[in-house]
Amino acid sequence: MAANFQECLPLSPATLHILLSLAADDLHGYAIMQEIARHSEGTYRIGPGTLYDNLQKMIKREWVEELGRRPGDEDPRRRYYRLTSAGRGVLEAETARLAEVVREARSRLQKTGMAKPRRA
Amino acid sequence: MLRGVYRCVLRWHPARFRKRFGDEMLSIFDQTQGKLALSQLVLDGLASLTLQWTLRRQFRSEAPHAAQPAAAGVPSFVTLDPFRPRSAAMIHGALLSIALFCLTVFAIRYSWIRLLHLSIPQGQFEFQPVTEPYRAFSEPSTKPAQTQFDEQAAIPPQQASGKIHDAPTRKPGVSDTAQIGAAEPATNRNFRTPSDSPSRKSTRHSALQLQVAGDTQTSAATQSQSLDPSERQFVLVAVVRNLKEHYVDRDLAQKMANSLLQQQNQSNEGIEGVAFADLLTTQMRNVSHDPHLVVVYSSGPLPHIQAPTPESIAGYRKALEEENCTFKKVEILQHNIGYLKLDSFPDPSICEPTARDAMARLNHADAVIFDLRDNRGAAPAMTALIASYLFDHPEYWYNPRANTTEELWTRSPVPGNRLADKPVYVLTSARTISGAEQFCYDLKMLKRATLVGEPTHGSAHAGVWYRIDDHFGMGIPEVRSINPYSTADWEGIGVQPDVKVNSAEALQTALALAQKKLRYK
Repeated sequence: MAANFQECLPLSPATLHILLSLAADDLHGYAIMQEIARHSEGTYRIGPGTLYDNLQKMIKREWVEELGRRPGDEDPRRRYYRLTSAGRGVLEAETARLAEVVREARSRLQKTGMAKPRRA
Repeated sequence: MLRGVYRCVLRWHPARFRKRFGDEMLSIFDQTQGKLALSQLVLDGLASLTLQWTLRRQFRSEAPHAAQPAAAGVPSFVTLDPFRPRSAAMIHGALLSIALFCLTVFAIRYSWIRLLHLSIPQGQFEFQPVTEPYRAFSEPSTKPAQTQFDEQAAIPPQQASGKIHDAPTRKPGVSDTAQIGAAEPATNRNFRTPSDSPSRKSTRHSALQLQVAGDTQTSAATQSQSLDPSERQFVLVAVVRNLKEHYVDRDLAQKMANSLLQQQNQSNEGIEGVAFADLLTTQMRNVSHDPHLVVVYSSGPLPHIQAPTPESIAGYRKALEEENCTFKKVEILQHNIGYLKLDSFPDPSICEPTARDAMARLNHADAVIFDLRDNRGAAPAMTALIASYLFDHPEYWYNPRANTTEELWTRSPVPGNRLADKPVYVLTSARTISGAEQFCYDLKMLKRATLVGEPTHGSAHAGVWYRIDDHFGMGIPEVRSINPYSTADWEGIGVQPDVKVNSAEALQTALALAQKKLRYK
């Protein structure tokens, strides 16, 4: 399974952030946008066009499933989305890949810092 | 407004995407605050629109419809090919069709005149060049002399040549002293149709009570008298002869002549002059369906035309100059709206400088109002000259009084002119007649002006006047003019205004229209 996910990596920033937003809770589109802005501390924002384009792809790949509308919601037009196990697997694979990238980057930076030739 | 734009953008998305996510996207738009953020959402929507139509084809394809099992005894149809034309293809097809349609209409509009022109041999017409001065005037008395039929009083005598004729008088010497207005300025025309006549009947011409200028016994001119058989016979023979000799379509002239002669035996005892003229007009038109054919009765003696003398021509020129060529007012009104009151379209060989000066004074106006409510018409060339300022390219200038072989075009563009794209309003009344009606009709057909006021008089004057005797005369078209607009000209019906108001209120109405148009420009 993990091997299958490797073919999908790396994820685009929008896909990664959407998966991250849905990792903790089921959310509707507007909440996903707000959650992305929150967890990226405002450094990354997406519009509804980008959001639903990505959701369309993720639903097609069965990484996300649509839960439909919730009765009593303040806006009846909202639909909720949930991360599927496949989506969680992709997120974990991407997280592991990024962790490996980070680890490798730190390692190289440390080596480069030690071997850095001193200037006369 | 931004919400409307955003909805529009959403509507243009592929149907599958729109149905699935459109409501949610609009929901997010409704929750977003601030114009900047909303503008960003519109841009985001446009980006999404582009993305969906260009890179997301795989999501647009519908799943094939599963064949529904038919109930027992109920026929069902299954389409094996799920193909449906793409919306974009449908839009492209529609746009292409509209473009082709416009192109075809444009081609027809600008090419048919020349096609028809080529198909008509020029030799078919008895074309008389206007450069042949005094031709008809110099003919012997057995030939027709001149009488003014058209309201072409402002055309100099040499250009009126061949337009007006007297038949041999029944009583030579009577009324020979009457002077005709061909060499007189417009204000002194000898014949004038009732300017305020509300009648719009097709046979109105034949009932015209011609008024002889200088004749103080105008009341007598409104009376009609019973005709004796010999006079009826004389008029009938003269009408038939004139038709055969002068009507533009000789075959049709023969048919009309036969019809008139066949019906002469019917009882016309005691018929009055007006009624007899009406009858002959109706009989001619029943055969020819030509509204420009007319027999007219006048209880007052119809005057003869005498050849203009150099003195009369000089007097004509002087009178025009004293009248400033009938350019009565040239003003710039409030809101920079130009106003030109013109009471005739005088001969450009005399008045072209005056006309150009008047148009130059209006050159910086934002809109132009032509006041033709008292315009008596006259020279088609002057109507074309003034119209030249209203176009940026030459336009065919239809004149029902000239052979189509004598094409008249506006002399556009006029160097330095700034009026070609300015709104134009023309004020009309029931006194607007002849050449003035041509100006109105052509601008209306070319969709270049808004006509404000009353229907015009309804005299195309597309005929040549023949005097039959002291009381009868007839108008005969001697030219064949093809109307490029495929509609009747204004003979008998007048040119209908776009905005119908009492002529006294036409100026205020046109000013209001112009101001409104300039405000929303």
